[in-house]
Parts: sequence; C-alpha cells; structure tokens
Amino acid sequence: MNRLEERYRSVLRVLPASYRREWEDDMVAAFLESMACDDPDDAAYVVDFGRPSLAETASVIALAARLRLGIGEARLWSAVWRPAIHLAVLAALLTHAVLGAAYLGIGWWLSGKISGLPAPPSEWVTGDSLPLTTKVGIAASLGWLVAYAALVSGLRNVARGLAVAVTALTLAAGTLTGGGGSTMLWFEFGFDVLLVLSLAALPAHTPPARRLPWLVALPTGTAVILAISVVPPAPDGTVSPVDWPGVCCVAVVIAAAVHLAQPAARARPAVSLALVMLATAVLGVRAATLLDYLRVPPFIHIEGLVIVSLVQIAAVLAVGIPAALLAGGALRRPVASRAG
Amino acid sequence: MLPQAITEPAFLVLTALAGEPRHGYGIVGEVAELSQARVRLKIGTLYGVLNRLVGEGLVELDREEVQQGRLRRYYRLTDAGGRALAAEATRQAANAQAATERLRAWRPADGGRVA
Repeated sequence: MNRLEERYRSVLRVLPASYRREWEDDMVAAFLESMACDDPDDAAYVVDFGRPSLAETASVIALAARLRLGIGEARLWSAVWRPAIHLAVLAALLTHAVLGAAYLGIGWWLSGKISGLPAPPSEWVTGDSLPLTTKVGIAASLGWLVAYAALVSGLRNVARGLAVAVTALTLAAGTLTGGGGSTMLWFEFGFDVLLVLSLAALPAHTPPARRLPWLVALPTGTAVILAISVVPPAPDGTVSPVDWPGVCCVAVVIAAAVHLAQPAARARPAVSLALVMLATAVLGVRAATLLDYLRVPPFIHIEGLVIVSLVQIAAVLAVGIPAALLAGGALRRPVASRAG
Repeated sequence: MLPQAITEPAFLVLTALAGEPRHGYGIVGEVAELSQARVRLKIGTLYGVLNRLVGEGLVELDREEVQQGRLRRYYRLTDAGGRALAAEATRQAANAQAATERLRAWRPADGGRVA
C-alpha cells in the first residue's frame, strides 16, 4: 500500500464500517485511477506526496454524515439538511463580517482620521506603523466581508475560496505571533474549517439569500459590536461582562425563542436544525473565550463576566435543546410530512 | 415502491450506464463527457449515488476484473433502472418542451430577443 492509498483510506475511516466493507476497495481503486499520471516522474511524486483534495475529502465527509445520521433520502437532504446548512453558514459568515466591519471601524477611529467623533483614549491610539497582527486583521476583515456578500448573492465558490484563504492566513499569523497557546485561536480555526467544509457541502449553484434581511443584519450587528467595543475599561481594571461571544449567545437565544414561539415551528425543521448548529457553535465560542479569560493574567475582577457567561450558556441550552428535539423529531418523520 | 426523485448526479450515472457496463472511474469520466465537463463527480459523491441506486434496484454488479493487482467492479443498468431513466428523461423533456414553447412568446422587459 503506497502513501496516497494510505491517506485516502484514512479519510474513508469516517464512513460506517458496514459501508466500508462493501465499498471501500472499489472507492480506493477509483480514487487511485483518478490520480493516475502519464508521466512516470509525476506518478511517483503523486504516489509519495499526493493526498485527497479538499473537495474529495468533503464529499466523503458529506457521505459519512448522510449515512451516519440516516440522511439517506435525497428529499431529506434537499428539504432539510441543505437549507439548514445554508442558513447556519450565512449566520456564521454574518458573524465574521460583523466582527470584521467593527474591526475596520475601530481601526479607522483609532487612526484619528474620522472627524466629528470623540477622540479615542490615548493609550488606545496606534502609531502609523501597523503591526503584523493588525495588517492580518484588516485583510481578514475585508475577506470575510466579501465572502459574506458573495454567499448572500449566491456566489458559493467565491465565498468558499475566500473562507479558505482567510482561515489559513489567520491561523498562520496567529501562530507566528505567539498566539498558539490561545484556546480561542484553535477553536476559531476548527470552527472556520467546519465553515469551509459546510460551504463545500452546498451546491455550486446555491441560490442567493433574501438580500434585505441579511444586508440589514450587517450594519445592525456592527453597530452593536462597536457600541460594546468602544467602552473604555473601568479604572480598577474590572472586565466588562458584555463581550462579542455574549452578543452571539444573545442573538441565538432571541432567534431560537422567536422560532420556537411560532406555531409553525414544527413545520420548519431546517430552521430548527440551523439553530441547533448555531447554538452548538456559540456554546463553543463562549466556553473557549471564557477559558482564555481565566488563563490570561491581565484580566482581573472577572467574576461578573464569569457569572454572565454561565447565564448565557444556560440560556443557549434552554433554547437549543427544544430546537434539537424539534429537529430530531422532524428527521425521523416520514418524508411526506416534512416541509422545509 | 417507487424510487426517490432522481437527482442530477444519479440521472447522469444511470445515463452513463445505459451505454455499457462501467467501473467507478469509468462512470466519472463518462458523466464528465455527458455533461460537457459541467459535472465532475467526486469519488465520495459517486459511491453515495451508486450505493443508493444499487439499494433501489436500478443498478447492479455486472462483473469483477483484476487490473494491476486490484479488483475492479463493473456496474450495469437493471431493467428497472432503464425504465426509471426513460421515465425521468421523458419528464425532463416534457418540462423542457413546455419552457421552450412559453419562451417563444416571451420577450424580456428591455425588448431583447431570446435565443
């Protein structure tokens, strides 16, 4: 068995054992044929250094998800899972776009080039020479904004390409600048990898979203994040209990509460499923940032933040669990009674 | 029991097998040719489709051959698969015909002509 085959078989391990017994050898044979080269030197290189492409890996993972989660029905996939993933990916990209827009806005304010606004605290003002992290932050922010606009407009491939580029850039910059010990950095990397794979699971011709709500959400969310970000720290160093993961928790709780309160919630399993995905993501973000706050010495008097964070986690679970029960019930019902 | 609605990848896989039995990578190549390179099936996607089509009785194993030390399986269309493909092709042709007839009478808002 050569290295290429080893790598592909390791990807196939995500598939159920019963499925692999029947199809694995056939899939391996087809994959190796697809990677064959006429040139002997190229063939030798591929055998030793080649690996399954991201798209191929995503297709195997998508197949594993369909098989393991019982998503064997094409209608179930098209009526529930795909719209749920589309909705969750839009919300995730919106989060990135909001944070990116706020980052750019704050940076612009700190540069002192905006007239008519109060001057920023002197200790916040940056010099003319921007550090690497700031330059990366600017590039990533712009990337996420364009990726979000692309997916809202139905340009899945553009959104996916930008997501891959920004994810790689952010991780590289984070580890190079000594941020490798941050829980949030690695959580964010894992989250963004999941985002990229989810984008790959959507069809290339994903239709555009209803533009108005999603485009209104961007400035609205940005205004909220800016409002909490420009509040100076308390003189005694007490950390504000309001941070961006908390805003995400509140947003998910409100969205889920509105959805669950509607009598037609049972008839919209895609929305329930999307809310479950988002609730899981915000719980992870909340836990990761809380761990970082507890570990990083400069943060003191964080009792208020810890208490508020625990309340946020409880609130997300309080709406996430009912949404999960709704979604699970819909996935187990016969296809005819589901209405995306 | 009627099979589920045929997705585009499944339709193209059935069409690829309508000509002759093929192995996995052969189906990938034939689908690319049938779709004029628009549809490039990944192996994971292809075998998910094959698994479903075999389960529904539309495709079955034709034979196995050993090629360069590896077992290569060939698949063929069953009678039920042929009927399902014919029914889906008729359905799609009827839809395309209806759209074409309506488009002959339709003019865009800017007065341009439809090809």
